[in-house]
Amino acid sequence: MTGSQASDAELIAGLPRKPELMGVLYERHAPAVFRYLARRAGRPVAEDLLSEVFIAALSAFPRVEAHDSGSALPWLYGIGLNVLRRHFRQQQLTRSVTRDFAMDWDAVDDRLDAWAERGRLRAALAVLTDSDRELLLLVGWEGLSQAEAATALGISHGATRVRLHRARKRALSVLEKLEHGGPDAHVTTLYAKEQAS
Amino acid sequence: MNTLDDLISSSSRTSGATPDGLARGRVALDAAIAAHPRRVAPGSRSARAYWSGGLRKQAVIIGAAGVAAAAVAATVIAIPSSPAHPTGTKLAGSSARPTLKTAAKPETARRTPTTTVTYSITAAKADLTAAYVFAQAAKGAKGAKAAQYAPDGSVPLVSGWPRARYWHTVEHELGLSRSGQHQPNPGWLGPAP
Repeated sequence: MTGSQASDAELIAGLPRKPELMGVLYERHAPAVFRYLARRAGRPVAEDLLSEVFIAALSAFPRVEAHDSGSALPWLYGIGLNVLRRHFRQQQLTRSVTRDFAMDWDAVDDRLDAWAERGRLRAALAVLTDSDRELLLLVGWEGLSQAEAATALGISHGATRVRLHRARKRALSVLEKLEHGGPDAHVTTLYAKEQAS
Repeated sequence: MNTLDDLISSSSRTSGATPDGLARGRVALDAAIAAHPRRVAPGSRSARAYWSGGLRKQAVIIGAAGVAAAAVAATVIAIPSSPAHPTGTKLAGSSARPTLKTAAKPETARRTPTTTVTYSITAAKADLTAAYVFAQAAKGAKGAKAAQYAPDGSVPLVSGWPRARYWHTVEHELGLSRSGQHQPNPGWLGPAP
């Protein structure tokens, strides 16, 4: 196995005897993992955490198999989520601020053009649990299939389908209420005021 | 595509990593890989690992077995250090252990057919080493005054040992000289007779 021609599944299988094959996976998937991190934590943090994801993967490979699609990305995203949670947990300890354990909303807001959009997205995702939101974003942001997202989160395909449907339904209901000026519309208003101040 | 999908899609925009950022990550990863222990396949173990693993265990087992066998052998040939047996009794064919067989023959009858005498040692002590046994034999040989060969097979003992001259063996006593005659060639543990 020369490495560069090998599939992700072959690389993962060879990692126990040849840890240097992780370098091949890095060359292949580092840009995607970086975007995954940057979407949730911003570019500066993503640059710091990029190598941590692959280093953590070095210790995790005895327990992992490549996804049926042959891609190692779902596995790497799952590790990336844990690295992000640890990072935000440490940030919370040092800064004494309440922060989402797997999301830097400022980094998300920077990618949205209008204040209103930021408030609506926050409101829609805020009603979801951490795992449901991550599932929704793995599909929406990273473009994973439901089966790949299931691999990333370590849950069954059936549970993924049910939870994804539930997450979309809840998020959409919040957006509809905001559009019609319902009870949750104050979330957007409060957020807009907060940012303006 | 609905409102939620639009929002998620519009918030997913992000530029890729810079070459410097990727390079720094690769350097950190390479350092971690160098420090990471690699698992050796069962069929490709190094000689050092093989020796420190299975072969060393085998050697220890074999060594322990050898020590145990030596201890058993020492027990079998052990002879009491004290005169625990007042008489030597001819017990040809006896199953008593340990037994000591010697091709005994008095000096006066060296060229006669050999006579086999079996002694029964009834109080063997297992803590005797071979060196101690030989030392005792030499000591007994020094104490022997004269050869006393009894045709009936009874052999006198000196300090619990058979008389020294009966320790000579036919193989050691006889040699072939240039003249074709057999010459005495004592190869004895103690003093020459």
